[in-house]
Amino acid sequence: MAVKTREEDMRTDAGGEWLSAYLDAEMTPVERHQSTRRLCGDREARLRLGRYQLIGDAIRGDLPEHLEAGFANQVLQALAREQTQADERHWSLRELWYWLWHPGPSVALSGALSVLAIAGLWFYMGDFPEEASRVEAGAHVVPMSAEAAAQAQERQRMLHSYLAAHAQAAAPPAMIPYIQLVDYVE
Amino acid sequence: MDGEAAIEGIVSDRSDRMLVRRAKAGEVGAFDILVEKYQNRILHLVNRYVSDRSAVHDVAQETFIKAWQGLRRFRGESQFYTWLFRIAVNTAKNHLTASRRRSEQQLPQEADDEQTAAEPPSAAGTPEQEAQAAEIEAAVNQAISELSEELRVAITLRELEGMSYDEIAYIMKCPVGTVRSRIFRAREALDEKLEPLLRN
Repeated sequence: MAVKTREEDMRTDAGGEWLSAYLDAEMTPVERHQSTRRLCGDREARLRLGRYQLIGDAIRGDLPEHLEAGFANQVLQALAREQTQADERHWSLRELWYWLWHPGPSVALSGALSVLAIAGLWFYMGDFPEEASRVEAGAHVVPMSAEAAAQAQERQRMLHSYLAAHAQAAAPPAMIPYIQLVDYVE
Repeated sequence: MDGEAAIEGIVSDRSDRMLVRRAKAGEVGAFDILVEKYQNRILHLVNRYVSDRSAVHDVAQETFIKAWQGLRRFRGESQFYTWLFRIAVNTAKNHLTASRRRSEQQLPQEADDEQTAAEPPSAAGTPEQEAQAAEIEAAVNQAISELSEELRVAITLRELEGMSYDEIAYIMKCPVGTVRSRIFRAREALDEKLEPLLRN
């Protein structure tokens, strides 16, 4: 297949009269829409547009002091890297979402958690009396002196009578009186 | 009409809205067009704030990356270029603050010498790099002088005076389609002259 020369390309306008008009925003809305679509899918045309832009900037004396060849390409590569990182983050979130909400894995996960919880509870319940009896057996209780015991009993009695006397004021209004705090005698 | 007005004419291009819309939808090609279109102006702008050549490049690149990341927040109340301009200025200022802080940390023994700590990074790149812009401008001017008169007038009225095709057609007493064709042919001729320079 014969390769078109630049001149042939220009003659047929395959090369870019539309591109030049696009840069100058001299198009109907429909043409602009079509050109944008065409440009988005054509990297070569975008590079050419960049060169036309460069020419315009050079004519106006607006070129930056330090020109960067391939700058746009580097920006695209940086964006691609950003995109990959974002995709990885997004993927891990999707995985988490999948595991949480997909029926199969979530049933399996909740089943496993239930089994673990039951097993843990069973061990705990089984161990508790043994632990308690061990504590009971090993506990070294120091007997309270008669004077200290009498003082503690007196303090308890005073507290009970105080609470019983003030229970009416402390209780919420809707509470039935007989289930409010009452005094008791040991 | 002066050069600034010409820039304004290009800046107010309604196609930016369309490109932004497509870029928002995740089309990188649309954003690439915006980069191609505004890269020189952003580099030029950043260069006014940051004198270190490699930093100019980094700050300009960061500007575009921030713009891409923030596109969802761009509601189109201002023009895309105005928004991009603001990002570039903020990024350049942040860069200057960070580099000042870094030089203060790196040179604690010279902390009392405020001049040293506050001085921006050393200016300018290599003479070759500095020559590049001037070389391109000279090549473009030379190529313009070699164009036929009708192409030279058309491209000058468009790029330097920022006139619309209708206005140029009125001045040159020819159909708008002819103006469109002349401007394109002028650009192609200039591009051809620039190609070896840009390839190098």
